Amino acid sequence: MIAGIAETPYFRLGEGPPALELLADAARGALADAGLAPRDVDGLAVASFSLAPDRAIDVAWRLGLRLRWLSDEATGGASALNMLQHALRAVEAGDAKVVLLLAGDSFTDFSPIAESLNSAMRDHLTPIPHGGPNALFALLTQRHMAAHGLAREDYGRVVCAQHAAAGRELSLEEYLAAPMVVDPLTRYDCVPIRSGACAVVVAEGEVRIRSIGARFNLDQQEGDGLRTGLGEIPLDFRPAEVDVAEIYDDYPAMVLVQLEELGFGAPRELAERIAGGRLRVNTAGGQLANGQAGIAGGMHGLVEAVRQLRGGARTALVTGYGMIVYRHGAIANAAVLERS
Amino acid sequence: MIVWVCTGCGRGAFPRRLLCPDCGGGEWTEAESEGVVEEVTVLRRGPGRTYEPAPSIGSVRLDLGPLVVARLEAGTAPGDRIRLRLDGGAPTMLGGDA
Repeated sequence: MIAGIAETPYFRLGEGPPALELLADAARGALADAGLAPRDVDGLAVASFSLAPDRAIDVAWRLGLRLRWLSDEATGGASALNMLQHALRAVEAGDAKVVLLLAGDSFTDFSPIAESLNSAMRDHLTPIPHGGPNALFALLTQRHMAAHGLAREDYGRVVCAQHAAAGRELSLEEYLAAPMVVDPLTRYDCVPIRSGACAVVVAEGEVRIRSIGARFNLDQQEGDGLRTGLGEIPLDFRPAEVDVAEIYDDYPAMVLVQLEELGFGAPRELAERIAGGRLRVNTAGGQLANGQAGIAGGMHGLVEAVRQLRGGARTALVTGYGMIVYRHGAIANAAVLERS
Repeated sequence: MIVWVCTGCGRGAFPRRLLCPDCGGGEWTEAESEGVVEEVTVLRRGPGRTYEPAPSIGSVRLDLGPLVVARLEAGTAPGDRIRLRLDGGAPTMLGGDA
């Protein structure tokens, strides 16, 4: 049910074209990839933090799309799979036949989002100050380390493996020697913000979605943040059959948290399997190696999973995670993809 | 610091909720609560800046239930019992022993 994908180049803050242009580039790329034309599209979903004052309907108009299904998405790093789930049901129900999913952002300054993602952050975290989500995930990572007896080396193995997957060597020594940002996180643990866009065409095609689901507001923001809800989704898969896992990686601890919830094993063993290439995770380097292109960071894994399925993988697992409403992400979702 | 307490079931909340996550009630009263520090970090760098002095930030489990993110005094450690107040909306540690 996925027929086309595209990902634009990423740009440093202030260097990329406006979000509307990035989304259009990704849309053209994904339609060309699917062998479809804009006139074939009858559904559109758009996720962006930086499109204001435009909305999804403005994107439809600018792209010249006549539609019978439209979704304006706001679920952060969970947007790609949330859009995919809804689009899949729309196609199955006959409400649309070809749905274009777009996710992208262009930033000159990320601090307005880091400080005021929502009213709780604006009112109770920014005045501390908290410096964006890094401090929250530093506290979460400390809990993760204490709960499992982990050391910085365990996270370093994940980060270095992802850099290697992106074609950039990073040694464990370099990782450990990096200056502290917010203890125990260094700059290698904190994804740099980029501009960029991704697109996916949901229509009859080479990739089938075997299973998909989500959980929202699992713990009222009062738990330890080491459960996202992924473990509660009745996904149809066995870890042993997963050839590639594209796991939402805003911080390395979250990669290990999600994989453990999904039944892949305990964190230290997971880090060793990832470092040794025995578990293929974030096969293009993910956000930890390439940066987070805003909301497109949540679609990167879906796009990469389709690339891997085309390249010979039979089963791919993709996750999304996002929207820090106070202390950690309040949305988690996952999909199991396979070749049709 | 002040937290919100559901008049229906006594559950504490911070930040304020609209409906009680436990009983669904919508009536709240205010109550004072101390707490115990669970984790501490030090914010040294942010995008394009360094923090000098670097603020200490912690997770604090309040006696009335909520787990809040707070500004701490330097040297505060996990396990310390502290009192807090809201400073411009930020849960902030008060000096002295709780």
